[in-house]
Amino acid sequence: MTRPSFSPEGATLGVSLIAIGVLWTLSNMGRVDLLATLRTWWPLLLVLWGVLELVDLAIRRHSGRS
Amino acid sequence: VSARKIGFLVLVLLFGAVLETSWSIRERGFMLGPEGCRVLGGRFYGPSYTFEEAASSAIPEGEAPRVEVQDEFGDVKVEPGDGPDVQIRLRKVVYLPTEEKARAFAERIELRTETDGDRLRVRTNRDELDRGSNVGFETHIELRVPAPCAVDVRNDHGAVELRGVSRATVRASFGDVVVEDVADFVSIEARHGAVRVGDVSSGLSVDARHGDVEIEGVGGPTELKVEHGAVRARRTAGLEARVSFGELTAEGVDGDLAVVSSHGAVTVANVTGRADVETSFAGIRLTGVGGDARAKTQHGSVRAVDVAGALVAETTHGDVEVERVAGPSEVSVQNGGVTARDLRGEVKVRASRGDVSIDGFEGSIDVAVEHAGTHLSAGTPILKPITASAADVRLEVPPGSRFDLDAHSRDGEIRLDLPGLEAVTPGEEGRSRATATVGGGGALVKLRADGEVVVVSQPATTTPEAE
Repeated sequence: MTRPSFSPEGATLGVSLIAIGVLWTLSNMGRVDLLATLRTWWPLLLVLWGVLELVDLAIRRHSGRS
Repeated sequence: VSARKIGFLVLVLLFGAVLETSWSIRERGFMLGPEGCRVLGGRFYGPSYTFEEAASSAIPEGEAPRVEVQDEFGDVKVEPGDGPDVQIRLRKVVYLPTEEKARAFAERIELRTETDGDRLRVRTNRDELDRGSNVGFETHIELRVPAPCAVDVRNDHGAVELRGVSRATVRASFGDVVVEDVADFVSIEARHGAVRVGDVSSGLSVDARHGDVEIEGVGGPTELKVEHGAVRARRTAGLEARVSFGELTAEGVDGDLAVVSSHGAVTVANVTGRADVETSFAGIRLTGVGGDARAKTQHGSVRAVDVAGALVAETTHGDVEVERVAGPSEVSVQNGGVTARDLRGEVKVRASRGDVSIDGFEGSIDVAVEHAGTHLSAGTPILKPITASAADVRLEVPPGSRFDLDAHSRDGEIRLDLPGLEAVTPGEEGRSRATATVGGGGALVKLRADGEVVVVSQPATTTPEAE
């Protein structure tokens, strides 16, 4: 039985969708400026993806040794 | 690196590019997304917050105090108030994504009142705010003014409502206009919006484009200039209207009516004075005119009923129907017929390519029809001259008629079937011409036809068998 592989881009997409949905809702409630917030924080998507890629690499190396 | 990862990277970068571009456009002044944005028609959309401000100002002293209201985006409402001062309420609607930002901006919106002689000017500082920002906001102004006060309103994007003032002048660009219960003259200039006016004691002037106009209860002369909208007027004094591309309906005009229209039907009922109507590509209906009536159209029909004065009806490519006219009638039709009943004055008809039927006339008749026939049936004894020329002519003669007949047919027969016929003289052309004396003679009845001429006695009552 094979363990399902971890996908960094899939995880990034999921986190991004959640973040956009929350921000959009807050914008509709008048709490945040949607465009200004997204424009400020969107590069964090690249950071998040990079971190997850490193985690994935580490997991695969660890699996290879064992 | 897999193609999947490259595709995802492109997707993320595209997402970032869209955000950066949107932000850049917003900073230059044109807003996208949920921010306030001006769109066609002068409306804003997006989240908005409302704030209110109230003020009062003394009405200027003078014989004719006047209040001038100027607004650009927002409604203006003026109503009579109780006290001697002008009560002003400003409602500010600011289109910004958060209440905090909207409140901060709303605090910069100010109500300005200035007194200049006998005038009180009410406006906002929008001009100053528009210069430095791109925030969409509306300023709705409500006034309560002392009753004997003239009001001028100029509004660009918003509705205008005026009630219970002494005199009103309105200039509106995008928005409906309602003016009611005004003691003196009302002048309205509207560009894109409906206009409704009710209960004006004095005169009214309306210049409207792209919107319907509804008027009821105007005590003075009314002048309308309307393009691209329907007009409905009820209970007005003298009415003068120029209408393009819209129908006009007028009921109860106490005075003269003059309508010049194009591409719109005109329906008029109960005019105490003269009615003068002109249009094209549509019909005219006049019912109950106390004076003379004139109806002229092209490519439309004309119907005139119960006219107390003279009638002039003219059309092309349409029929004319006339009923109960007390004065002389003059009808001219190209490519259409005429049906007339109960005409008491002189009648003159010129028609082509349509039959002319006159049932019941008392005055002299002059009918000329090209390429169609005519049927004349007198309601009372024929004592006045008749001249008729048509493809076929049929004359019904009531008992007691006295006239000299001169009938001529170019290619057909002449049939005379009258009990009181005293003498028949065939003309030089034999059966195609006849002269006769009826009832001892009198007025000349001259009938000319290309085909058949029929002169018969009019039965007391018309039955299917007699037809």
